Amino acid sequence: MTDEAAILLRISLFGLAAAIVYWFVSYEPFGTVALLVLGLGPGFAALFAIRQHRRAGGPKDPFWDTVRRLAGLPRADPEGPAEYEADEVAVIPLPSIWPLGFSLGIAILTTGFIFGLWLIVLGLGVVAVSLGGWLAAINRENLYGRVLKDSDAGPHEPNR
Amino acid sequence: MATTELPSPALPEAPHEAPRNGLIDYITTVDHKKIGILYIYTAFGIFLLGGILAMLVRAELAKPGLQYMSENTYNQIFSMHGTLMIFLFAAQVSTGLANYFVPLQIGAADVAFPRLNAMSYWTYLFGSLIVISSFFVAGGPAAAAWTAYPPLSDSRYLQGAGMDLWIIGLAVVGIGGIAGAINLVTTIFTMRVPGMTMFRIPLFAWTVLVTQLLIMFAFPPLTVALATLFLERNFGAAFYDPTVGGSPVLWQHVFWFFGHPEVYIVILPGFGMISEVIPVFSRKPLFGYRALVFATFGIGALSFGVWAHHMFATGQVNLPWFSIMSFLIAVPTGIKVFNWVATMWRGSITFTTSMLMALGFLAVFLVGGITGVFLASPPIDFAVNDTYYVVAHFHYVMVGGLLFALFAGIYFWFPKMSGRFLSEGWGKLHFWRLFVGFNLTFFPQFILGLQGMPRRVANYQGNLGWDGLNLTSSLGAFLTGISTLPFLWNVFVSLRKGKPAPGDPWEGNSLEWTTSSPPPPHNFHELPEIRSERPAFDLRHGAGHPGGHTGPETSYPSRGRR
Repeated sequence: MTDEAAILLRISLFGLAAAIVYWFVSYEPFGTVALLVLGLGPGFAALFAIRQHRRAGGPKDPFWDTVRRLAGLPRADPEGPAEYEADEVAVIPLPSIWPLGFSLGIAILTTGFIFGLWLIVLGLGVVAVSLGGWLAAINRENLYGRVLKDSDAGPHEPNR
Repeated sequence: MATTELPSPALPEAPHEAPRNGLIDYITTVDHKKIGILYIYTAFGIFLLGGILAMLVRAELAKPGLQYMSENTYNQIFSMHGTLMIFLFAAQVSTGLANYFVPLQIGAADVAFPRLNAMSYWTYLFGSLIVISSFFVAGGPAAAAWTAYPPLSDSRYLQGAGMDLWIIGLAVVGIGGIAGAINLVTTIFTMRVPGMTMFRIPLFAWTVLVTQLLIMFAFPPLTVALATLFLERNFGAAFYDPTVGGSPVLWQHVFWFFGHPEVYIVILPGFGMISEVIPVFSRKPLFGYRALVFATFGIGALSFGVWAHHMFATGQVNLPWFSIMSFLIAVPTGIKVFNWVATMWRGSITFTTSMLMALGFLAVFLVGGITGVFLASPPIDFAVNDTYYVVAHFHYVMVGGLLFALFAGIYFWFPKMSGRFLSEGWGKLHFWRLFVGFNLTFFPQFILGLQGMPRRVANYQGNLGWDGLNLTSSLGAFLTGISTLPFLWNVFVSLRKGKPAPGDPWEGNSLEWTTSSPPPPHNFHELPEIRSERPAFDLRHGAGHPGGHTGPETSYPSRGRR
């Protein structure tokens, strides 16, 4: 188990324990359900993180190591590597107008609930165009890399 | 110590790598640093607007009777003051700093999802504009306070589009908040440079992680609350109408299940900034790194168990549970305060503006925190509920927990962001005016509250012993307002003519100080090996220095005997 999974698992255990105790002291449904969701959501994410770690070839911790990690007891930290692999540094995407367009579309769409259907239709249009532009930009960058114009470079290996 | 030059294939020399700062560059940017700056500027604009509204509130309350506005206008002004400050300033400005500094602190070139990051910011901006646009519609903005309790906020008692714009605007901001949270949590979990284990990331990154996890689980209930209120106002739903089987208390449950974690969403990044500033200006490593990390998690987790302490007076909640949970939060918070004090203990303290702000934070936040412990006790809460005592406590926590820490962080990181120092002279003027003005504003409100002055009223009777205290509070508010002017002037002048800052102007500890000021578009040309939670310190002093950590065995230089 990784430290990340341990963090999520701790939140999950807190949520589940709090939900159980809270139900029996209060019999109040909203808070119990909310705390259960707080327990189940991060718990699911933690199990997913553990599975990913195992799939990536990570070792399966002995039981007491897992307990120590959950309790937050110090463990020996690994040494930093001498060299970095190229793909360990993220590739920054090109500037893009589409995130702004998408947000604008969401804003227009939601105000349509107050001021009328025409705004909802307009907002949906802006969202659709922006989403199209956004996905096209991802596609283009995966095919041609981070270049400003297609003519700057030919196709090469995808970034990710 | 050796640094490792980064391999070039990941960072090609493209034409757009040259730093450009035109309008188009900001509109289309996906760079976390520019997005962070956009967040900070937007949040400060909203802060100034909210501050003007606060001064209008205090102007009205300076004397008994109604002077400048009707009661309805007063309701609108204090509602919008709370909304702007809590939802649109406090929760967002630290997201801006997190955007800028978390990737730098963990050695990443950007956040995990740069385009989503841009979308989060624009969603925040447009949502805020929707909320602010309610000033310009017929009937004016929302007048049901920032908590919008039904039936006060339903369509029978509050007509007009103002309240609807408030709901929609905050829902849109919430979408941006959740997307931003997913982004920052993923960044911290997956983008750390090799060697940067979880327990080597700086405290600020830890507090951002917990804050963003809180946002992930607290904002969805808010969105649900807003959606149901919108349906109730416009489409005849009856979630909160008791005459047809709904319950107004349900709103309070859902809202406060968001609302109390929101307090920690606001102040935890402040704790993180303080944990960065105090060790650097005390010339000592942070005392009890792990204790601070787990205290942060303790506060975050417990914050989900205390929501109904805002509802003690409804008589429909389990008092012991919520009281005990609220008392418990004082334990991890106390651990933090003691750790900060222990970090300063026998340190070689430099009183820069940043450090002064941090000390101001400790003083003010302590008052806010301890009065919170009083309020967690139901008998005391019954007596002072909805009085100015709560207002004073709340502002001591929020302003102490956020504003002083935020300014500490800004004076600390401004050289990194701009490549120039802020003026210390103007900074100290700013600090002392803010500190005196703030205490003058809010300390009298404790006494007013204990004397029974209710909150959220525009008018009060004279000769109840409240006149002098209210006048003092109002004068303090204006002094606090004026204190912002030296800061704005300082930023304006320093951006142009400030003293140039080197990469590591304060001899800092965390990774952001190992790159240039301001950092290049891809953040680092080379990275030091990470062997402890103080990579910049290790890089500066390396092997042989008593505090310098070179061995791979553990990451706790503070655990050994000195």
